[in-house]
Amino acid sequence: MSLPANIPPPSRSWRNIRQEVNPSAMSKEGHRRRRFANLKFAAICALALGGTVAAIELYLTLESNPSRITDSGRSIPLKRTVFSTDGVLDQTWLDRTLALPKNASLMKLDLDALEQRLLALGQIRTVVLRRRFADNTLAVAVQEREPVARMMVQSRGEPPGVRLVAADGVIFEGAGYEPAVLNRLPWLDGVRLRRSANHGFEPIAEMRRTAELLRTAAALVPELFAGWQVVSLARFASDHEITVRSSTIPETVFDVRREFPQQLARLDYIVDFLKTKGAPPMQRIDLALGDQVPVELQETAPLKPARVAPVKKASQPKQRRDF
Amino acid sequence: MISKTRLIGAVEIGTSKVTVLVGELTRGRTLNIVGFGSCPSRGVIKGGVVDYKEASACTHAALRAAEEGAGAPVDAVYLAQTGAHLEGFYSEAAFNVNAADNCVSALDIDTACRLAMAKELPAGRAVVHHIRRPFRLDGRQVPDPEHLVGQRLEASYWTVHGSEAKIGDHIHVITGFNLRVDELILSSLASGTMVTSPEERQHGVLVLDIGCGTTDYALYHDGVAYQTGVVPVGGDHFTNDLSLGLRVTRPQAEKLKIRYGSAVLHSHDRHEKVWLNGDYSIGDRQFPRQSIEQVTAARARELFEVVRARLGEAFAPEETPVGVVLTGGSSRMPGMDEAAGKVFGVTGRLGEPAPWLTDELRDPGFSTPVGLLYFGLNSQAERLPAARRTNGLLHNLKRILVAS
Repeated sequence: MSLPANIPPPSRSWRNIRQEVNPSAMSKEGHRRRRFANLKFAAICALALGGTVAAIELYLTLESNPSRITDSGRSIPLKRTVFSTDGVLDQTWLDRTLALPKNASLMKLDLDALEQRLLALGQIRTVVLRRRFADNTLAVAVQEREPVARMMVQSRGEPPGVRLVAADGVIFEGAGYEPAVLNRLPWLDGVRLRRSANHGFEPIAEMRRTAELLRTAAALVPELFAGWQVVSLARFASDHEITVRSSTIPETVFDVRREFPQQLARLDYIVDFLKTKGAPPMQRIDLALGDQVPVELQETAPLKPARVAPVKKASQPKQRRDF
Repeated sequence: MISKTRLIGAVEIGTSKVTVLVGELTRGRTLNIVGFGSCPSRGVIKGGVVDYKEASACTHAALRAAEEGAGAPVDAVYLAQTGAHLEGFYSEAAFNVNAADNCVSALDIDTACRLAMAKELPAGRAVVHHIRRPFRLDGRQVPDPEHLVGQRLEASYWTVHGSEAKIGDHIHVITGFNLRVDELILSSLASGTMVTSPEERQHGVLVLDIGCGTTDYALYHDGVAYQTGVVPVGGDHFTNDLSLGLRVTRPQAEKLKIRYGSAVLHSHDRHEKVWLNGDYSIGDRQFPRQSIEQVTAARARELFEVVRARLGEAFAPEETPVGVVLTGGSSRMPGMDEAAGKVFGVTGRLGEPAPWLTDELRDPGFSTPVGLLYFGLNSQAERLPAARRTNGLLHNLKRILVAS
């Protein structure tokens, strides 16, 4: 659709009057405003032109020789590293681990390689490396894994050594921990380790559920947890059971398919109950049988021989009580 | 990012003073008055610039004062236009609806409007406003005929035009300050929008803006200005009459007018006398008060009669139920509303300023600059109805196909 061709053109409007005035007819204030407006326009044009030239230059440089961009910064020397962590590692550890050469150039640092080197240690969960040109420093911010258990590992041709295990199953050597902290960790047993590509070990898949048990026990039954010495995962895959050996109970069996708080509460009740009853020490508690909890008590000291019918020692049953 | 807030300067270059208001327009919807400047006028007679330098100097002084008050430079100007050079005429056009089903399309409306506006002006004249009146579709009045069914569509306009040279003089005073004029608005429309409500304009009202050198009038019906005009008679003529009639200087006459002037005779005592200065100074003398009132009342009556004669048949008391609303600095003379009522045969009253205005802007003298901002913000009466979008994807595709 279009307008009919025979419509005359619109009349001349006031908007057709040119809004330009001879500079000589402008007032002093008008001249000042005009100069300011021209300056503003020139500044905007210069900024736009500068931006365009810079963008073109950058594009051409990236196209032809990208290394030129980084070359300019290669001469900046690294003054120091700044370390921040949420764990136990310190600046000395970082300097020893990174082992950066003196007068290293800030721009020449291969941040990816440094990051991989730190992550390979296992104790480091995340790492952020940042060049700070304001003070020529390398900022290293890490988040550490927290150990929940320890285990004895022997690599080929190496003497056995202690390794720490984090909640996500990662095995690492551990640095910066107080011996007292490490001594409180239970030993991990019954685990088949597999070698990883970087000469370490693959994470323990069963560790997530195990760590949950350890965390829950530490929170709900701290007195019992303090005595836990060995946590065995030998029957984790086959029977879905975790066996704990403690200083007071040689064997406590947990079912990994059921909630740990209920099992721990039941364990706590049994221990208290037997203590108040003056029962002999426990030998084994099996919490993996559902509502029935068989508790095996250790043999008590033999009483004075009584005149009873002789019984075969081998067939003597252990005391057993169901809760 | 483009700023959504603009500072607009509303400028009225009047015969007695130049007034500038700075309004902050946000997103084209909200208005906030943030600056004010005023300067006694020089180089302006009866609303026309006669001395460019003098007029520029006082206008720029007022603009500078307003900008200082606002704390920021003005981006553009809405300029009031008055003067005896402004004239108006009525034009209309009829158009047969194109569609087979007689349904009025946007193009029909556009064509009718363009036909109605396409009247050739004499050389040296420029259009200031095209004020559209309601459409008529087969004789019935409709505000928007689009999608209605009818055969004959009529569009009509009141076109205001003025001397291109005189309008250019006004504009160049502003551009001399390195500012652009965004809108040129008739003074009577600006003040009329301010002192009357949309309902009053719908019913019918006559607005008289009595300034120092001119009187602007606008007659409203059906919500739009049916007729506008400017009479080159204002408050100055009252002063002149007193100066000649009483044989006093203009400043003395101005004083007498302000103190004792009245548009109707209040004093019936022929012996009641008033002092010229009242300070017993040399040359101070007495005048009969009735004489002063007779002079001013005669001039007021004559002014209203001139306006009524200009309006002619367009003004009918029965079609103007709201009456006459007076505004402008000279409307403050006592009895003006009464005198206007007598001449026009309807009720007369002084225009009430908008309630949201601050006390200092409630004076009738500010109705035009405030109305400029208000009119510029709200009223686009003379513009065409919203045209269909012509740059869409389909339209462009069609254009390419047609061109090929």
